[in-house]
Amino acid sequence: MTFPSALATILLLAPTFSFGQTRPEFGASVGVVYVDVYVSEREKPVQGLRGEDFDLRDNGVPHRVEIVETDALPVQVLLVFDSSNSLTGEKREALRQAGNLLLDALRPVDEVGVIAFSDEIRWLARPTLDRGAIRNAIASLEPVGGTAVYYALLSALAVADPRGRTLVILFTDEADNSSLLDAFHLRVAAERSSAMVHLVTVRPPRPFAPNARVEMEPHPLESIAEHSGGQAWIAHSTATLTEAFARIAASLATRYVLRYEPKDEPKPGWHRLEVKLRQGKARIQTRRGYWVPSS
Amino acid sequence: MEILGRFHWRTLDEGFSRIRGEIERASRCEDCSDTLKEPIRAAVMLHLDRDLFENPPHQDVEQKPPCGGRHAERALEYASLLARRDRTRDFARRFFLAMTWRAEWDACMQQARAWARIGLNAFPEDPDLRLALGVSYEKAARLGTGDPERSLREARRELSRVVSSAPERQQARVHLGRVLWRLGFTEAAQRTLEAVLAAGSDDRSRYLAHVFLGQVHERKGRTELATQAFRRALEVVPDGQAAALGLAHALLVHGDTIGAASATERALSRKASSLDPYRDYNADNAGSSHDLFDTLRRESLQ
Repeated sequence: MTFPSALATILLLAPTFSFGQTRPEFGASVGVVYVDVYVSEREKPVQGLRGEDFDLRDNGVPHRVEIVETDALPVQVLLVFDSSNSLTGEKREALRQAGNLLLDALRPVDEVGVIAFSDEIRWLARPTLDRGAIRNAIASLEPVGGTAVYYALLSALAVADPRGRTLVILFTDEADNSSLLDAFHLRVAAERSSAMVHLVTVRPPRPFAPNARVEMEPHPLESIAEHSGGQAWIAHSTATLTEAFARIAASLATRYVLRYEPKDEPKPGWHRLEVKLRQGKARIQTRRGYWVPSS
Repeated sequence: MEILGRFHWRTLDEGFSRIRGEIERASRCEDCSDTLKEPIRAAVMLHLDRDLFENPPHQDVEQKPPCGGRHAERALEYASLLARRDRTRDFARRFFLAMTWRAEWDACMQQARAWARIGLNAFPEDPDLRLALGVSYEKAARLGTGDPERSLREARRELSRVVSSAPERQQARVHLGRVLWRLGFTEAAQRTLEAVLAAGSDDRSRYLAHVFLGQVHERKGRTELATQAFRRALEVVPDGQAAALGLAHALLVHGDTIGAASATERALSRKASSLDPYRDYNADNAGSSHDLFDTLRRESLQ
């Protein structure tokens, strides 16, 4: 399994929250901005940070941030699983185990939904708190047809709760061969959505070639996952697939949600975000920006 | 069992040799009677079946099956003989077409093009063969084999020829519109797709034309027109997944998250039995090769 040296996730949510409310309501109009951050050092989460430890810039303008208590903030998790013809045998079983492991790590307040895709997409389970229903949905995955991974990701981005925190975990073992849309369409859609995307792919190990540089072509969705504040996980065997899900699950409990109020009404369009720590060399993985609609 | 198998293959190979000898003799004979034409048709199909046996399709649709081998080439060679005689010309034409579709279905794009060209040598004005050639170039570009830009230019050339020679072929116009869009000629793509709609085409062609027009408008930043086109596609095929998700994308990019979620729900909740014409667009007629082979097989035994 290839994991970058640090795991960091950040989820930006453009909200209509006023200070004093007990629970933030995330939404499309920007009065307050919420940024979901994962900070790590040597692949371990850095905890105990305060708002003043962060240096956050919105289109280059620094903002004072506060840390929001995440205990009461439910997360909507959308499991988007490849059920195309190539998902057979060990791979399917490993995916089921990995999905169940993730469910065990979630809090009771977190809703989970399952979307299956081959060359078509469909709900296996709409977002629910009922873990039994989700386990049954995962168990019912049956391999058939081609791979419309772009349809699947677009669906998850579009149905993500626009006023909540949504985590999309997309598993696929193939490149798209069936969608009308392409990676460019998905990149734009991901910028408009507040969902954070983790991409998990299965790929054979790099071939041994002692005197040659062998470059593996990245999956087109890898950069989309990273730009959304999530991460691309590459499992080189089905045995290590569960490890990816375990680490995603572990990261859920150790994230920060930062909150700040832009001084002026944010201008419509793309807002570039930069988040750093004022001190130390911890790695921060964050959404690269957010979109403010024109009306 | 193994001995029996060897015996079976040896007998079959001897049979093929005999047939080949007969056919070669017949092909050199200008005045021979038509008595040999039926065995030639049977030989064409026999070689095809031997090829299908030796190169069976994979069970897994996501694994590329092997391309046709020496028996497929032999079958094409014999079919070329049939193309010389009036009574068997149409059999040969349809055989070339089915072989092109088969290669396209198996993603053997070089073979698909080669086989279509063999057919076009015998039938230069045939719109079906030329459409199959154009579609195989389009598919090669989509699969990223070779030089996609060049494949699209070739596809444009072949499809334009079909549209010129057989303007009633709306299927060719739909493919041409899509290819023009992919080449970046959005205005020409729009005109071509609008012509499909103006011609009062069948539901499949109208649906695809609306969906592709939606993408043309979206690329030009005309969101209203794009959403309108996707909605019209959904009027033609209410369960159309490509149209619903095209609409969802256009609305999401425009900032209408509620509309995008609603359109996506439509795609996620469609009936399992419903079929989106776009799903078959990339394969086009290629999926029909086996049906056409069955028809030809029956005819060859008559």
